[in-house]
Amino acid sequence: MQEPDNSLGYSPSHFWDALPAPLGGVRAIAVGFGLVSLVTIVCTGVATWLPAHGVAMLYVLAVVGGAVAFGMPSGLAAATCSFLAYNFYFLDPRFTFSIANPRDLIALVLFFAVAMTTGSLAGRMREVADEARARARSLQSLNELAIRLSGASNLVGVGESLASEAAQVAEGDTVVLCKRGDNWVTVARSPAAPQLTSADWQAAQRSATSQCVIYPAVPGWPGSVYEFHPMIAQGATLAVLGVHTRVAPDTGTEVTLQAMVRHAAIAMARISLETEKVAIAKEAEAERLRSALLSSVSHDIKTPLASIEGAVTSLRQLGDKMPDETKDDLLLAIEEEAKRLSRFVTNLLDMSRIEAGTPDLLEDWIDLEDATSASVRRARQLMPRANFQFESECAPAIIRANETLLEHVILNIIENAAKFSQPGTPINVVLRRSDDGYVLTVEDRGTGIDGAELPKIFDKFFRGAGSKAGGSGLGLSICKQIMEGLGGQISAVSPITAEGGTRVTLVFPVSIEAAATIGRVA
Amino acid sequence: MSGPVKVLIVDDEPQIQRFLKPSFIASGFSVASATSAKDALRAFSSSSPDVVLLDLGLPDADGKTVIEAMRRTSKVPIIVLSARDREGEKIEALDLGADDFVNKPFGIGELLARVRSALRRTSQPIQHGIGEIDINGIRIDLARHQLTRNGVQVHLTPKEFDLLAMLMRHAGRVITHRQLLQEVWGPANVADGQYLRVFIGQLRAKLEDKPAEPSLILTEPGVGYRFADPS
Repeated sequence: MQEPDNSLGYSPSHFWDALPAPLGGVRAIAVGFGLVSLVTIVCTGVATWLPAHGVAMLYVLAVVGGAVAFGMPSGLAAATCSFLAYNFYFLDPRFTFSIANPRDLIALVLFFAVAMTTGSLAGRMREVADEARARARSLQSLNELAIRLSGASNLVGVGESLASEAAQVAEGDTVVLCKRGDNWVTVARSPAAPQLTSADWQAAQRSATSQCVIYPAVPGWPGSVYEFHPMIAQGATLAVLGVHTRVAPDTGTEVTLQAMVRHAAIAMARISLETEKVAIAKEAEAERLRSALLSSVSHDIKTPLASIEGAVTSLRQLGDKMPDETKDDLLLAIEEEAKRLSRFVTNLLDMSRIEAGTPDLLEDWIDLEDATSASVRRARQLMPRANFQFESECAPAIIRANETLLEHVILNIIENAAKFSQPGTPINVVLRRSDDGYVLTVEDRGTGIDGAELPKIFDKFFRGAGSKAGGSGLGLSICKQIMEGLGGQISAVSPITAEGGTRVTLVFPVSIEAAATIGRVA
Repeated sequence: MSGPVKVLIVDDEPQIQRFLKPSFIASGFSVASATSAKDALRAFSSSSPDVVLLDLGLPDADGKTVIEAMRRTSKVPIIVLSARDREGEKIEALDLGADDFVNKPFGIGELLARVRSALRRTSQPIQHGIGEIDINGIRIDLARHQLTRNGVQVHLTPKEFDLLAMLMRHAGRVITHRQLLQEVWGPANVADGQYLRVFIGQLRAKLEDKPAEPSLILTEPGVGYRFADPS
């Protein structure tokens, strides 16, 4: 019993742990005989000044020592041997088993009774201590398993914790099997666990379907070498623990193993609930995004509609009283708003594509330079008073992306820059190549972004203090989502000069495939 | 009132301002504009308008705070511009003291009619309590608790009478469910919308030519009721 047990709380330096395992049969008798011989030799040596009852006391000591150190059988053997030796060596007539004095006979009988009682009591004490020690060890293992399980975040983690802790308790090898789809697979195993044979797999499945412990075949007979414990939570078998030991496990070990299996099953159930919870939270988040998107889009559509209806009714009802330039301006307003409306509808369709799930963001080969210049052209049409400057240091800049979504991002960033700048101030759009990939920067000379708000601008639903009413705070967060889908990054720096200004940087990774394609074409 | 009627247009959308301003000018108003709550309150105190058009979605503050601020010092008619689907917002604005609302998108004719109706109410305030109101053939005698329709006496229960009196005193103007319940049934009953539906139904049965297509007591869906404008 000198297993290395350095686990927390349970110290191997305890007195009982230093003791050998209880002995039985011939070895117990041999130990009892040996102890009594020793005492006899000592007593013979000091018999001249030792009183007669002192000898009896020393024999009792041997009995107690034997029972405590080597278990009850050794104690009882020592008691019997002492009875004989005491009679033979120390009671007159000495060196015979006969007894001269009847009082000595009574003393001897009393001695035997005391020795047997002491021996069995001491042995019983030893057994109780052993049991307590086993219980402590089993609690210790359960405790350790519980600690490991509470940290496990997936089924494999639970399987590994169970496999290693159960292997220690059973002093053997373990495997944890789990059902994946229609097949059973090994999730975890202790290092020396024997390979599973088809007989083992069958036994494991029998255990899973019957939800009972399946015991190993008797050695020499065909069948599984493992004992299989089903791991059941809420009526379903989540996994199976297989235990392989060379010695038959005792009841205590069996109870501990079953407790461990229950612990692990609960942990597995917890993990599957957590997974479900995460999925539900994700769903709720998507739902929130959808409704925010809807309200943002509905505002974006209603405003131009209101302008168009207002301008048209004004022209029809009051046109006669208006000067010509006012009438022209209203007509221009109608045209502009119609364009704005059509762009929102396009955006809406883009967004619904993102919302519909995971669009294939990398579906196409795109020339980033071309896409950027197209977006700048479109921005110029939409915001004729803004001063967009575009320069590119790389052509072509081929990346893998979805053209519509890419344009959505670029246009959104460019438009944002124009929205927060005075008309006429330059908005510089620059595309260049760096070690990280293609870098697109958009710089404006606007008021810049407040330092406290800057880290939040890409968060969902964040709206700056100076932003327009009715915006949902989704524009930039959708851009970020798309950029991440493209494997790129988006970041903002502000202010960039003493007067303010904001620089938004988009980094697009250079596809290795694209580089190869260009190489072939060139 | 001397000179042109002054209208203050508070809307942060330049495109809305773009057609409202020339339309009101062409209709003989003088126009002041504001695009934020701060601007609005500044223009309100400097130009003392005769009527205010207020969009509730302002960039710097909730439009409702503008109503509260204006109502502290003035009874000027405030007409709220709001989206059709924002009933809650409109009700709050009306309960805070706005006079009326117009759903966006709107035609200029509808808006001008609402503005004129609001101006008329302030220039000829209908006396509360004692007096007679006669609108579209419905004549209500507030002192004697009597009602005639086209000269024929109509019997009303006291609650029906109170309800009709409240609507007719504010003819042309929308009254929220809450305001009606509070006035007629008392503050403890403001959540009992079913009373209102029943009594409005009874009033329509007694007063309307075709109760199913009312022309006197008009429903503003989700907001309240309006007694048809005297015009």
